[in-house]
Amino acid sequence: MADVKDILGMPRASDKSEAQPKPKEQRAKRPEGMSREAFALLDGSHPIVPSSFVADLAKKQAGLKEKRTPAEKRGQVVWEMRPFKNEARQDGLELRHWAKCFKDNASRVRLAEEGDYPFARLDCKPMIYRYDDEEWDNVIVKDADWTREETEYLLELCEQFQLRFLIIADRYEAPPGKTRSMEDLKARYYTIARQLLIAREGGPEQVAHHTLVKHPFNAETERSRKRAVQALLARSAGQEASDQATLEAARGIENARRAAVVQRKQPPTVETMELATPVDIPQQPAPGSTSLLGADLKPAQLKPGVFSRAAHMREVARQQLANVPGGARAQKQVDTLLAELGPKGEPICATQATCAAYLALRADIVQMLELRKRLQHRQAAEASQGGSEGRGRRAHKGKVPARYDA
Amino acid sequence: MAGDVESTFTGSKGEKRLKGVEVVYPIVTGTVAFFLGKKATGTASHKWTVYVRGLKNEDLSHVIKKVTFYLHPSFNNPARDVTESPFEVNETGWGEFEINIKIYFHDEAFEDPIEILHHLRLYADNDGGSTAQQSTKKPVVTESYDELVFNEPAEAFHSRWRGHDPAPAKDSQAAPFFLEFAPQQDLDKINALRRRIAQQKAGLLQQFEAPMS
Repeated sequence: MADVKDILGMPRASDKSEAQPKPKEQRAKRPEGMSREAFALLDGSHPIVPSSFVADLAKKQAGLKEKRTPAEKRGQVVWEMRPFKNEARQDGLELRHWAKCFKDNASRVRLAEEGDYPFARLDCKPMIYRYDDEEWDNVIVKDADWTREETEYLLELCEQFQLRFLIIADRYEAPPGKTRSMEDLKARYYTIARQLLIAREGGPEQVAHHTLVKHPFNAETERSRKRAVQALLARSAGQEASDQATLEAARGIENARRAAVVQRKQPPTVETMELATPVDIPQQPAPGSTSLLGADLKPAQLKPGVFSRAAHMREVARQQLANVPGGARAQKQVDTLLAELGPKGEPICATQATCAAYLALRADIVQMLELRKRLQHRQAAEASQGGSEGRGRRAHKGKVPARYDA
Repeated sequence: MAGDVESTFTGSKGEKRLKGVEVVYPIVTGTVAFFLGKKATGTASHKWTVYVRGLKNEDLSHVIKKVTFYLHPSFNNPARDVTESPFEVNETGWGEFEINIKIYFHDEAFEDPIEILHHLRLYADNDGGSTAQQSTKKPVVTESYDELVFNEPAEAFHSRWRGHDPAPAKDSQAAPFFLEFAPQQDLDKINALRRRIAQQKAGLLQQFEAPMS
């Protein structure tokens, strides 16, 4: 250390007694409540304890007691009626209020809080957009309904009442023959403000996110909103009850719909699965048709005569597959799936119900296989698309432009 | 339905047929095969019976005029006509084959004969080879349930049928071995498979709708 100080040309700490007391002082300053070990960590390389930490510890330990100056020092608390000025006011009005003071031993009384009136800083004035002559000529889009005099009168009131449009509309004295509603006044002021803002900032893009530009005041919306509120307030108790009932019903419908959506999203289990192709077996076949089903799973139109139901079922099953592309392969897949029905892969009892269910089952299987095939096609297409893109780019590098340029 | 005024029309053979009427008649075709055991010879290891019967083993003579069983061509006189109940053929043989059963209806029905194929099974485990586990007491029974669907039957046939209460069929040797049928079991099996297929389909549909990565 001493070498460094030599090099830097700093005075060498010759007196050791000067260096010694300093750490002691620091050690003595260990805040109350902080453990010795923790303080030791700070002591060496980071002798400065973060102030917020110290303050927190002090607060925790001593509460507010320590912060206060003792009563002897600050004196006795007395309350006095004192005049005060609000710096936010321009008229210099002086009012009086009770203020907290301290009286010391020499009976001198001083204010507990000195300085400006603390509430003065809360008086924030909104920025009122005012134009000058040049801006009036160049920037403000003229409104035939508003003269410059009236516009300036409006801006005057805006400034005076700090954009409190309720008051402005109340105090506003419209020129003879005109009525100015609050919406008219607002629309006029905010139009001017927007035009000035855009002109001063150099274009609508610069202030696109400014509230005045982003949400321009719309008098018509405001009027209809007020009409709606008025109508809402003017409702009778009966109307209100009926409205409530309607809303309740709507909520019920909405909930039911949402529940239905949720239910639809849950994959059904095997037991609750809907049969893909519903077949309703008519107990009494309609005149002109039979209890035998066609390939479309509807009662078949057959000529008069006798039929074997089992043979007919096999024939229809064959027809079902006849229209499926890749018939032989599909046939094999269908047979594989049907194998668990029995060695022959078809019902043992060729009743009306079993035949119908069996044909529906085959239709289901054909649909499912078709779907599976399409999914595989799509996956294959996407895989090859991704692959060939990369290859293609490399293979045709340089070649394609030449061909197209020629 | 008796007493209903049913509209009729004239069929292709000049018969009167009932419009919009359907009659369903369940029948069973089957074979019962006994292993001959020690008595088995090279060409006759089994004694079997092929038959057409009513579901409740009732006499079918009021519907069926004649049944022709077409046996394997290696049999003597392979086309066997049976014109009386019970409609069955008893034979001995050593091999399994498809028997073509042709059912003829009474003339007043004006119906063409119907053909039903039935596979003669001699071996229970269906491997066709070993005779070790075969029993001479326990036959191999194969039956198929079928339904004859008469679409718009001839009027005379239908009316005779309606008034008829079929008697039990005459005794058949195979009768003690006839099977009971449970269509509901079939239906349950089919519907269970349909539910599984429907679930697979739903899974595929979900994959379809899911955005591909």
